[in-house]
Amino acid sequence: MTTARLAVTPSRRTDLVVISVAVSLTALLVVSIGLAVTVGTSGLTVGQVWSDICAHLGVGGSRLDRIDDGIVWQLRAPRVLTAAAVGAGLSLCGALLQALTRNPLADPYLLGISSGASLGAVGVLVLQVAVALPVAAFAGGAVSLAATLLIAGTATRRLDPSRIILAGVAVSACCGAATSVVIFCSSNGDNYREILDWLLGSVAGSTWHSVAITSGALAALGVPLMFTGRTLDAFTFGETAAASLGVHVARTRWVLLGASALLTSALVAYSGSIGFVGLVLPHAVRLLIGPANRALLPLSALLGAVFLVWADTVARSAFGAQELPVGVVTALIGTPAFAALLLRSKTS
Amino acid sequence: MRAALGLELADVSVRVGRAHAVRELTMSAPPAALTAVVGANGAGKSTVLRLLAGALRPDHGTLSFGGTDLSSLSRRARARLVALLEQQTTTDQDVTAAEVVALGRIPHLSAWSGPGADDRRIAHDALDRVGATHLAARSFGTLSGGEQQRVRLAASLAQEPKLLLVDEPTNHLDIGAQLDALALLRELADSGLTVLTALHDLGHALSHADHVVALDSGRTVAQGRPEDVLTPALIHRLYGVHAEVMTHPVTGVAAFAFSRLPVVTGQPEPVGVSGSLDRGRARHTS
Amino acid sequence: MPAAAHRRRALVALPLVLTCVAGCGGTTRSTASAPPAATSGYPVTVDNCGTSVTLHAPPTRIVTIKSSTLELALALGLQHRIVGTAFRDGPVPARWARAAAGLRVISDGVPGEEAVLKLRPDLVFAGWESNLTAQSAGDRSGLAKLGVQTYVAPSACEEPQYQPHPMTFEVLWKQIEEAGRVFGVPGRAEALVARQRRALASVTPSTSGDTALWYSSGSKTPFVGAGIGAPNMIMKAAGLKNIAGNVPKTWTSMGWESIIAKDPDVIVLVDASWNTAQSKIRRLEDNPATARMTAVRRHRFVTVAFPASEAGVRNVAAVRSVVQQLRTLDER
Repeated sequence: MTTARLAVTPSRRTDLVVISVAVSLTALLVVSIGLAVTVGTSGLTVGQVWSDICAHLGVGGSRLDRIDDGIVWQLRAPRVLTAAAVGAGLSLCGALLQALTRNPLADPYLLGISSGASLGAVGVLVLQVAVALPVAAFAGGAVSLAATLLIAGTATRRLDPSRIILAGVAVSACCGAATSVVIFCSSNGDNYREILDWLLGSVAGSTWHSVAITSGALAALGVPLMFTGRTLDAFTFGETAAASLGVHVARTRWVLLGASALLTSALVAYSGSIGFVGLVLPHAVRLLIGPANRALLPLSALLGAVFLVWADTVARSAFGAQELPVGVVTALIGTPAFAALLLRSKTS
Repeated sequence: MRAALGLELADVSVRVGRAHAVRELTMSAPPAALTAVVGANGAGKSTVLRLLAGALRPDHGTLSFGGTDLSSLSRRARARLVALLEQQTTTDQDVTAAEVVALGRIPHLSAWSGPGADDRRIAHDALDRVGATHLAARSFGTLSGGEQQRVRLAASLAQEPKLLLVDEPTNHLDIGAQLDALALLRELADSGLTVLTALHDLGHALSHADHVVALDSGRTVAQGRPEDVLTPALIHRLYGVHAEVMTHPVTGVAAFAFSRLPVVTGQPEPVGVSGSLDRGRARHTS
Repeated sequence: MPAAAHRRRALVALPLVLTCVAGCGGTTRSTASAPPAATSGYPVTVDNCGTSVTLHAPPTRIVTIKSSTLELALALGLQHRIVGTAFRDGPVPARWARAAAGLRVISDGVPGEEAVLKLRPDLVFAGWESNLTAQSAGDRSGLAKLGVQTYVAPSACEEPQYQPHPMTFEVLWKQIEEAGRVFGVPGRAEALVARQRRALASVTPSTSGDTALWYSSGSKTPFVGAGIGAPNMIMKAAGLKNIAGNVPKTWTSMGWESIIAKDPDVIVLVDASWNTAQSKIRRLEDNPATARMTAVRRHRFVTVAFPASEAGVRNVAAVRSVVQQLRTLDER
């Protein structure tokens, strides 16, 4: 046994790197939210916006007139905060599912949740079912999740990742087809626009109510999930290895899958199916700090929040007076980013 | 009693799918020794290891080690006592060897805390023990089969187990790596660790193990010293081949010669000669 | 077009730069003329597509979305009260070109809520109900809370009980009169309706009893005028029999097979800049099945501009134009 302490060769993954990334991302998030709320097409200055916000928070400043105040406090502020919560949650769930299923292409919609939620949403938008949109979307997501688990044969109590993925694909395809049928048969000429906005994903129309629900779900479900990193690391070499490291495999799988499905459903109910956030961002974080889940989960959440805040800012202000659904922007950025990640991982 | 401090399986049964993987299996292994579990494919060797590691729950029977019933322990307590080195598992994660070894500390860490200086030292020592410190910063996926196995063994050692379970460590290794792996297990057993390994190579069992357990269709058919268990009669029963124990004319080391046909007259056509030239069971120095 | 260039520039600019530019520049507002002296007739309350809208005074800062609403506002002489227009479907007719020239164009497509609110409107006059959602110009109740009333062209209501059964000129003129009350110009609305009535009466519908297809868009499956909307109203007044007239919708998808089977005598093509009449003719001629139709072989096409194809002040002129085009076809 050597007496000299051989230092582990410093790699990009030292604790110092992780901590510095965490601090920078947190600072970046705070700054991003502060900036994003001042950006928009209505010509308000930074000073005006912050004066109004301070007035609402009771720390001085002065309120703007009714319409400008409405723009700042009813349109922009809830929208930016919802984008942050949704981005954090989707990115977190993506990282979690990629670890659980040991599949780098997993995303939070793996279990058919988003397609089920879309079906629920389209039912309200097109068939004019008299239910609140988020409730219908959440119910749709829950039903499709149940269908996925049923088809994957979880009645026998074993959660096999590849079966679940396949079942999720089947349920997604089915819900997608049903959605198309509903749209085709029932929609009027211009209904498609609303539906498209929902299918592409959008945080327009966020209210303080949506901020409460999405950030509440993130706090209640997301934060505990962020602490499961070490448990997830135990799965690096598979289920048997995890069990021999003292992890309750079946219970862990159920709890983690269930919690992330619930969180995703709550988010999708308000934002539609925004793509690429849950798929690409965990990989970006992995490039920075390595695959250790203990750091990966919370950092993915932070990066997801920053990303979506900016993506939504671009979506609502970079195209003149017209707005794009944020899902378009995430796809436009996400696709080349994903390609770049793939190329880079090939060469490294 | 010496036996009570070792590994005891009493009347263990478990079904995997429709079939009984092991049925009323009773076996024991002495502590601080290297025990080999042999048997044909499907005899239940891997199942026994998975049962002991806690990856599988027995339908019936008790498993105990050092006098403690393993099922009475929490999963984490069990993981601090028992470590399993599987045959050949891969990961698609981009991990370094050091990170793999650090996984072995998981049963010792709580959900909140990170690895401390002690954990890092133990992990480092484990790598040192297997002679792989130079691989610490390397990407695990770029290592050779033998190197990967050594690193994973270090991870198992980082768990600080008292019982080490190894599933077929020589299967996919070249002959040099095979001997190195067995020598390492031998060393570990000599230093006080109870090692239980499934082996398919009877010659290895003969030359390296202190104790052998032979399984057939999920049951124990014999256990004891290698030369007592690995008789031609048993080998024929388990594998359907004829075995002759031959002694090396110079070193006097015993080895097997296998054939399909029984030895009647003249020289048989040996299918293969197995067994190491070095009967490394005595205090092995390398 | 100025709006498109603006959009291109904005695409390239970073949001931060936008902030600075927006912060440094002042906001310009279009001047609005003083409200009309007469405020009798207020408060006005109407049930507009299921939402109750109440105005206490004539709106003086109007934002229009789509051509049908813009053109009605111009026909009612309200150009000085329009602070912004968006989502036009084509150029306005010559007689209103000068009035329209000075109007600010918010965007080519559906405007975002902030862009609309920037102009401090007191009424948003929308051509389609879907223009008023959170993802487009703003949700109706949200805007109302900010003091902005919303009014959707009643012919475009989506809920079945608010849809026309069917759309006729009488219904259209009643809607114009309601608009007159909402905007505080009942006299002008009455005069407009009277003019339209006379113009329609002066048109002699075609008597050849031709059947017709109203082809709006779509190539794999055409989107056609059906039984209860403006297309049917126009065709009926022009003396054409709509082959999709028995479908109780405003517009509907119809398979090529049924269309070919019914073999209409005339095809009415909606001409829009994003889907021209010419491209539709090419599509019909290129497809070997549709090329056999009588109307395609004998080139019996009639064209209607898109803005005139939705219920509004241009429908009467569309009827006259269709009758004239039919006469030209018959004279060939």
